[in-house]
Amino acid sequence: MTEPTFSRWLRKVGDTHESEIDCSACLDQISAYVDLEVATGQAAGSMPDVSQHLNQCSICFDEYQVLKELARLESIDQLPEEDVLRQQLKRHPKSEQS
Amino acid sequence: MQATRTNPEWVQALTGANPLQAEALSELRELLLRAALYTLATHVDDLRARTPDERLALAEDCAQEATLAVLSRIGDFRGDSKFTTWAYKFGINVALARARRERWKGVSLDALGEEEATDWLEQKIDAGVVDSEAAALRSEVAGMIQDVINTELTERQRQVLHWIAFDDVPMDVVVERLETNRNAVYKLLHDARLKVKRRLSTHGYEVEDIYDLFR
Repeated sequence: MTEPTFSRWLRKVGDTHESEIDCSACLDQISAYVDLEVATGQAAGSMPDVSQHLNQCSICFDEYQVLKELARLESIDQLPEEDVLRQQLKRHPKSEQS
Repeated sequence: MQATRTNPEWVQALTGANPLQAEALSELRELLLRAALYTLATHVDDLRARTPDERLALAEDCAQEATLAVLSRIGDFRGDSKFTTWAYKFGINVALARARRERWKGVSLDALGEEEATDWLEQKIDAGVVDSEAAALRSEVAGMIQDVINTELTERQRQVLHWIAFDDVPMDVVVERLETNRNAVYKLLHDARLKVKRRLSTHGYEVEDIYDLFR
């Protein structure tokens, strides 16, 4: 453990609520949260329980970040084509060495 | 690909025995494959042990698993988001979980003991000998937190706290190790946080005022 790791956790302690939604409830609401975020940039005020959970749960936050980016790209019709994504996934440094 | 399908049209096409179902299923699988490819491509470092063909096969597996998840959960879709956003989350959820497991494959959680965190906190307590008000405060707070961890947390709360909060082990790796589910692990973490927060509050400390001590 490092000091930043501990202070990050301490920040989560400070933001702890008596009652919090769990990961299933977050997953249930995350698509609505993301669409609102993409449309207005202000989902946290409308859905504070989801926002609070995302601040506490790193894997829900990771999923939220990817979903938001996908939804954003789709909203501007910039979602990469399948072939492009296949090439990106194959083009890992290790595969270039082999 | 048809990009203008409305939410009701998606649900109707996927749930009814109708001529549109095969086409809608194909489109859904294509969407979820793109979601899986995108997700894995952004976390490709986690897949460094896999060959390019294995990475593509993994994306196909994730798309298939996510397609089945969407079809089994389609009755839960309330229409409060775009159908595609709702569907993408299943692809992302599956792909990220697989990527995290790949990253932690072969790592023994048992080797990540409690000693490191305990030692680290003890160092903060020892730092109390330094003639500094901030160091003394940090030592007092660290001692208080360590006491809560040692005396108020259950063994399982303590174990999960160390793995996830202090060793950065992904939650789904812990879920798999403990043969439980995300909600149960989240509750363990929440209860641990709450106990620490209550103890600090009881002694007049607000976390907002002290976390700078540990930055």
